[in-house]
Amino acid sequence: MAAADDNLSEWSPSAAKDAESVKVRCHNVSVMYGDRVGLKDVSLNIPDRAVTALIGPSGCGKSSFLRCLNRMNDTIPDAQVSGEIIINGVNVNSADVDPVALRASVGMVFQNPNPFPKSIFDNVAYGPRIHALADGKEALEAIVHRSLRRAGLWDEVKDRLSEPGTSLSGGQQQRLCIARAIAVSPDMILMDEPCSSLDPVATARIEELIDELRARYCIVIVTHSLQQAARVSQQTAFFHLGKLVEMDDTGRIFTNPAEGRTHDYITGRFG
Amino acid sequence: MPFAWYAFVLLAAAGMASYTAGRVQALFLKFQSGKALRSSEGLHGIFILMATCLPMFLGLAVLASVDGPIVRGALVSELPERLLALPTVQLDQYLEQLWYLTGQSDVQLSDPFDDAARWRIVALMGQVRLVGGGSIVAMGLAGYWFASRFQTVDAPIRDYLETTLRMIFFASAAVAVLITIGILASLVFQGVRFFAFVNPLDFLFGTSWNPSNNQDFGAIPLFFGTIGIAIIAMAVAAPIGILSAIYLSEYASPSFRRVAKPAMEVLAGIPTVVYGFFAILLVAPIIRSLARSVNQLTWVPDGFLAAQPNSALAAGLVMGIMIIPFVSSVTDGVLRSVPDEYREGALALGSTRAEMILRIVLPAARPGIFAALLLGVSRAVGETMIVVMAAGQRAQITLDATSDMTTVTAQIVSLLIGDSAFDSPRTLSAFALGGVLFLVTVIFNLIALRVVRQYRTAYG
Amino acid sequence: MADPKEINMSHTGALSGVRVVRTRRIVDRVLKGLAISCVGLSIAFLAVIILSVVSISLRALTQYQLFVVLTPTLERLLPESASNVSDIGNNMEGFNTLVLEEVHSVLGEPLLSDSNHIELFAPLAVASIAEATAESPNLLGVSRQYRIPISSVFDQYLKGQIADESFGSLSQASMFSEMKPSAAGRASGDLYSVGFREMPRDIKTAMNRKRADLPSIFVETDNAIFQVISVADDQLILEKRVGDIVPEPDRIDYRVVWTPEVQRAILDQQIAEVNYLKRAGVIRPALNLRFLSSGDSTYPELAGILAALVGSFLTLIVTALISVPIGIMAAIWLEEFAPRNRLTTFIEVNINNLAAVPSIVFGLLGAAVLLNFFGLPRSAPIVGGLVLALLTLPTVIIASRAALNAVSQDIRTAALSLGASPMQMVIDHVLPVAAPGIITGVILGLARSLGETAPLLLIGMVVFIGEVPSGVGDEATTLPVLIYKWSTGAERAWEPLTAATIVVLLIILVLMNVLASYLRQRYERR
Repeated sequence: MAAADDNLSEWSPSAAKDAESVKVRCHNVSVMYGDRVGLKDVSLNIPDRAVTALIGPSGCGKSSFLRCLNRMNDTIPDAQVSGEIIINGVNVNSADVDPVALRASVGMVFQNPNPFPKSIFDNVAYGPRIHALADGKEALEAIVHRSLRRAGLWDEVKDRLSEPGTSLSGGQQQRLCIARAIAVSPDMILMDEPCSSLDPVATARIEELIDELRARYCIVIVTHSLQQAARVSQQTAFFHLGKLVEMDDTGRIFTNPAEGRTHDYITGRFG
Repeated sequence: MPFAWYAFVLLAAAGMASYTAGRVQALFLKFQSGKALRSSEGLHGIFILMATCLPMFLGLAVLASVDGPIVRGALVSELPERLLALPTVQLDQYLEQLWYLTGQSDVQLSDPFDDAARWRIVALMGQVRLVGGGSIVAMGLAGYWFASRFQTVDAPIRDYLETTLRMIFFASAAVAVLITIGILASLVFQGVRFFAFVNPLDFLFGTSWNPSNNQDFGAIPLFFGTIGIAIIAMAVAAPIGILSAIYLSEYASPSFRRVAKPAMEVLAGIPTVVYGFFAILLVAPIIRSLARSVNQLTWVPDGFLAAQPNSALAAGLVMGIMIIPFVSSVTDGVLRSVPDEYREGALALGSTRAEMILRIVLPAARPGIFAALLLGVSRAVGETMIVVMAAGQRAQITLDATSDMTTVTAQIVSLLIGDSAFDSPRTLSAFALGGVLFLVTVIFNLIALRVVRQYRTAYG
Repeated sequence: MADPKEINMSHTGALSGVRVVRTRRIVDRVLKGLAISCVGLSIAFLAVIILSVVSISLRALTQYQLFVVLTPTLERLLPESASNVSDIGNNMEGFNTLVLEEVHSVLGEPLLSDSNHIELFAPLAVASIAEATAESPNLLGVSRQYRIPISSVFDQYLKGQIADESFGSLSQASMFSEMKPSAAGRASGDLYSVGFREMPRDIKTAMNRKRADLPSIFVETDNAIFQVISVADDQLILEKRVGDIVPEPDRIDYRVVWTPEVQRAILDQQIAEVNYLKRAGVIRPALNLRFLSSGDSTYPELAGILAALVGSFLTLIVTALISVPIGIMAAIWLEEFAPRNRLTTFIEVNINNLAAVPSIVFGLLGAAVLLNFFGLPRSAPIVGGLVLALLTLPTVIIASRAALNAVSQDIRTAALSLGASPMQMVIDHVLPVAAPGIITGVILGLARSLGETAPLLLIGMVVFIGEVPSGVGDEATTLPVLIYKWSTGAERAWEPLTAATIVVLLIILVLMNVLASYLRQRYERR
């Protein structure tokens, strides 16, 4: 707890120089799964229009933290989330926030590509349809086309929009999922190890995409790959044993971390 | 059953003798050659035992099933003209009576001929069993002789045994095919005899069913009743079954599921005759009184609803209750095999749970749910006791569900429940109906099984 | 999963342009509500079925019986033509006369012979007494109390199933006074009057009914029962039905039988007599032990399930002896030895299909092949068991395959690597591990076959079986078939018996299921 607070204050100066650009402020966020502690007293700020990478060994709580940001932990029976998570001035963890609306503004991309068993078009159009974002067919098509373009998939699928989403390759499926998330015009995109099931070429393509998307969205990415964190992120947070060890500019974390444990992890002593 | 006792004693004696003989022979070989046996002497014993007793067992089974017909044939050939001139049914009855009387040795028969014929049956039976028993013993000896030639010190007796066992296992699996063949054969054979009396087109498309006069065999009213009652049943079972499955797989907490799912499966374990009793006890009277009060409404014409004590509605509703667990458990399995990634993906896009279920999970599970419904329909069409007890016996085509109707299965029962002289179109028609029933349910089952299998490979 | 937070949300706009519209939330709530009410409905159906059957079966728990002291003697019971003492066992009439004399000694005069509809007890009801006496002649000449079930109509009446009744006490009634026969106008018996201060409301209502459905009103004391034939302002005019008059009885009760005489199976006179016998302690309720200890009967009060229970047991034995070994061997072949080829697929499809073929088709198979072609006896457990074995076989195979399939592949690999042959591997290693699962599946399959009815109807098992069958070749019936047969009985007295039989059947099924799940749990713990 003390360590987390220290990290926060250490990081604060950089946050302070651009206070407006902080997208998410978390204070003492904890997650319990029944009797088991998933995450303990995490406090950190996430900058807007930048990529924040969450790293750490398996079971360190980075995914639990990510799932707090769009309240996906609600879907797990007997998961308990406490603490404050303030996005755009609203504590999304309070009881009067509708997770449905929250999730519409905080998109998520999962470890394994999970396109619905529908056509490519319907996959992307699903979100706009349920939230009634488009007036009429043309508007809907426009949203779908724009989202596919932003996800860098348009050229590959423009002639086969009615084919099932599952007919695409793994990397394409993942980009389809990104397009699907973009289509509801979220403020943030959460990515839970989006490349872990992809080959290096597809991974490179997704990383490029993340870099492009950074201009418009606040992106939080959980990754197992330190190289990937170094390549795509501006900020990096290191989690260990359910706690935040430290968070800083990516460059600093990888070259000169404040904590010994971070250093050990970066250099491959454990994890 | 003294015959069964004799057979058992014979088999047991042969078994013990052959096992001992095989074992002793093996020990003798071992002693004689001074080498170790490749397979243990116990295996030698079992090997000889199987070689001796298997043919005997099969022979006994054959004897038990053919001794009656053989004696009967021999007796009929000795009967005088006056009896042979009788119609078949009467002759059968006469013989059956004689047969029964063979067991009543203390009863004196008034007719000396009958008395003699009765003792003739006993004598013939004795002869047949003596000859049969003799040949069975010979078969056992032959088996013993054949197998004992294989007994050497390094005979792979284990391999022989394992091959035999494997063949027995295969034969057991093949019994399933035999059952299907037996069903097909009995339905087709008796069905063909029926269609010698009745034109198949009249049967399939006739609208008048009155088998008691051996003339009107138009099965349309039965098909109508069957389909109508199945529709009522599915109208109950499909929504309740599917929605229950949705609750259990999408909403329920694990602890609720642990209690509720077995409770629903109890419904599937209740014998159908209990459902039938429930239908005539509680449901039919309620429906009848409701229908009567509808009839009493001022704007309803007099006698608008039939309000019969037996009704298609009562049978259909109760059948629906019976089918709920079948629909719900298959649907539940199907829903649970829809990958959780779809659910997470949908929720992460801001779907409500209902949107997730209605737009993502159910469409993904559609083929499986279709198969569940098909299995439900197949069960409804083949269900017998509920309709026999609660639907009625009157073959009629009416849209009034408070009226009594009859179904294919109910008619099969009422045609065959009496006696089974298989020579009138009346009794044979049951097999034609059974054939239609078998065909329809098999088609439904095969489609459903195929859909389920494809579905499983899709999400494997 | 069902998080209430998800439903009661209001705060949305601050986060994005998306508003969760009311209708979306309503749809969500409606679907969840519908879904859980369907689960509730299914369980409610189960509860209604069980409760209705159990509540009706309770009426079969007791039956009203005549408790009479009889003195059977050789002189009275041995017909002159017969010489053997054992012939007493066939002399139903003699025993009937003994019982009737005893009853009439209580009633005063042989009144029941006047009521032409039903006898107080079935002539066959004395059969067990007659047989017992014939078997042990030392009962002759001894006065003992015997119990004889009364006719089901009277039994049902006393259980309140035939007529609606109200009772009460004429607490402030004055003494009886005899009336001149002429005073009441229409005289058929002894007329009396009884005065009272306040007429009970039941009687008032009853007397105001239309003539067509006029209820019958009785006035009862410990010594006599009267029927009300008219009512004056302060007195009831009574006609004595049975018993002796005592001028000042301790208490005077009344009984209003709302169901008019023409609409019920029991006459006014019979009601009076039965109630009189009940007050006298001659008719008393007793546990219906006969239900568990005797075979079927044409009289509901004498019928029992023992023959069907034994028939079910014999049938189950035959089913198990055939389907279990064949089923397990078939499962072993399919799971362990079958090559992946067309023949195997064909056999598998066959088995899966047979599992869903309607049971009545198996009945047709039995009728055509076993009865007609092989000439096996009708109505015999051997045939019933065979048919049910064919029906159960696919279930046993499928369950056993699942159990074999669940055995870890490691065990197989380990056994094979030690040089065991595939057959040794299966018999020594795989089967013992799979055994609990197989047994569980087998028990469940057999439980299903125990409740099967339709195929047995087609092979003639719906017959009257009074005697307990002694072997698999005898004529027999089974519990579900007995349920079917009794449920179609015309008299309402069969209803509680049917329900009680169902309860017995369900108890057996529950026990089998409990056994199966106990085995499964032990298996899973290992």
